[in-house]
Amino acid sequence: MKWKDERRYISYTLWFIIIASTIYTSQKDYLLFHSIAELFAVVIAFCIFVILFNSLPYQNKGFMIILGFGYACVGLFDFIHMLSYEGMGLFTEFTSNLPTQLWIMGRFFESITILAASVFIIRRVNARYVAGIYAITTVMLLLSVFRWGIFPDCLVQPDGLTTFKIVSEYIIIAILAGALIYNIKYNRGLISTNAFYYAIAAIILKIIAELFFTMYVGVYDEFNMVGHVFKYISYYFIYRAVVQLSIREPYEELQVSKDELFESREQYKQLSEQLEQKVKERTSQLEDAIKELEAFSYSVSHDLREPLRGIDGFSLALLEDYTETLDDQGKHYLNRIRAATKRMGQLINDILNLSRLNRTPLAVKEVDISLLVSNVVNQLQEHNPERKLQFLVQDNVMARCDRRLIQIVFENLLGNAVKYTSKKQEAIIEFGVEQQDNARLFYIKDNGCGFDMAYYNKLFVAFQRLHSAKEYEGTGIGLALVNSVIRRHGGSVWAESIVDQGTTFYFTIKERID
Amino acid sequence: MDNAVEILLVEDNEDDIELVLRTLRKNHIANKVVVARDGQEALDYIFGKQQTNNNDKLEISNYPYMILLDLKLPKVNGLEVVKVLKSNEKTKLIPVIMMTSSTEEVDMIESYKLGVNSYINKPVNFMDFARMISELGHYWLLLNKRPY
Repeated sequence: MKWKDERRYISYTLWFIIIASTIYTSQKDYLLFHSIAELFAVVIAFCIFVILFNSLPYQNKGFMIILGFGYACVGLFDFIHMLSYEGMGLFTEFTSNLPTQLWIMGRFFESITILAASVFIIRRVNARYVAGIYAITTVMLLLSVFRWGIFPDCLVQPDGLTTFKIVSEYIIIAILAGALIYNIKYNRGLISTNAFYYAIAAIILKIIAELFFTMYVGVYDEFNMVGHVFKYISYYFIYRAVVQLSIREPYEELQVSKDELFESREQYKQLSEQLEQKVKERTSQLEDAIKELEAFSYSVSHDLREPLRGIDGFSLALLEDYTETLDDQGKHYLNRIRAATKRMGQLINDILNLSRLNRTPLAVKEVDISLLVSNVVNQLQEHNPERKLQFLVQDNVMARCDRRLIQIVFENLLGNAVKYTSKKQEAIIEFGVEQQDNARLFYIKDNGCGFDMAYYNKLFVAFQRLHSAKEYEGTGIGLALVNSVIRRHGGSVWAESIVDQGTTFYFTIKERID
Repeated sequence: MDNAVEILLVEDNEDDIELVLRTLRKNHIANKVVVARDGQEALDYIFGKQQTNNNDKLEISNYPYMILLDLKLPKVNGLEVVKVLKSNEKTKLIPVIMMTSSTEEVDMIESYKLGVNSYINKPVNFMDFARMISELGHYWLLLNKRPY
């Protein structure tokens, strides 16, 4: 036998025991029976209110808000009704009319509450307004009975129930029937099937109970008793509906969304792993492509050298072996061929150097930059003995970098400085470091011819020159090499220049390179 | 008695062959130059067409005064030729000048590791190339005066 079935049998047995024992109690001591039956209803009514009250911040739908506040009032009326019942001895100055009046109030409250809760089942309502309406109505009704005494009589001995009371019960039955029809017509599917059937059962039981309450004459008779039994059973179903809707289902939903959350987190994790894998693949493809391209440019420029050497060699042979037969014009042409060949050879070497530079791994060490600059400066002075060169080199500049590559930077930048100051009387070339924010700015400043900043975007492009080869010789590879080296050091290089006044090159390097 | 100074030139580029031959002739470095177009031809010239795996058993057919060897060759490349020559007792004293248009440092390091005597980076400028060949050629021929 399944646990679900077991539970069902247990609950049937329990209900049988409860109903049988209450009916037995009613035969022995009706007042006790009434108190127990009403107390049962009062407890459930307050339970509903407690559930609402504690979940108020999360409630915005009519069902629970109206039901919660409504049952708080219903519970209150039922409680006073129980206390004022004939024989309780609390409100001795009143007759059985009082509990019946309170009863009618409770039933009106309850039926209207059920109807309102059905209509506003999933609509938004303002909890403050609902609570306000219930509170004011409750106070007014209590005052009308206890203070003003204007509430119509419901039970007058010895005639029994007044017309008002019986008509009221029918009105209440009509309201409940309205709620029942409304629920069946509109609410099926809006709430879960279980909750729906609990609500329907509760309303039907209430209608049956009310029918019995229209028939009794004395508050101790059989109809009254059967009515109370139906009443507390209907309360049980209301309770089930409330628990189902506001505790069980939210919990189940919570569990489901927790599972879904977990699942989506797993999916997300998988997705990000896939993405990472894809990025890795793409990166390695890209790296391969770059390597292939570099290998290609290397082998192309490499293979270009061979035919070039042939041109150079044979033109030299022609010049040497046929010097008598060639006239001056012929020799001039041959020399032009050889000059062009030489230039092309230089360009190819430049391409090879650039591509080799990009392929060699960085060897980062602590380097005495000042010493390195001084060595380059000495070389430049030896190569240009006719020039008047003044170098200002800042002392004790150290940096972590690839010594060989950084040397290329200084050879090119200082070499350029010497080259482009060749038309000045005296060249002043300065090397130093400036601190700017968190970075060190290395600079090389000259007082040379400068360049037009309008062409700045061409400055670091390979084989792009801002001066003619006739004016200042060169192939246009130097600054491209510098840029490449600095970029590989995680830094950047830029320049400022004023035509005829000089140029300053700045560069940074990432001080911490892995 | 054959007192011709014989040089073996191993080169696959016809332009280079002609130009090197001219340089050698012009600078009076050798009066006999044998040209091999690939590494196998060069080995065949020195050892004849013998079939053996044991390097030391190889007999010498021709013993050039000097070898000008291109690095990149069809079939058997320059490095492999050097490997065979320098590991054979009978041929390891022949001066080998490796010539290449490669600018890769590893090629030079590898060549010297295998025992080449000189390494020339073929420049585009032929005059420079010719000067290197003639100077190194003179040097190694002088150093390698035959004991017999």
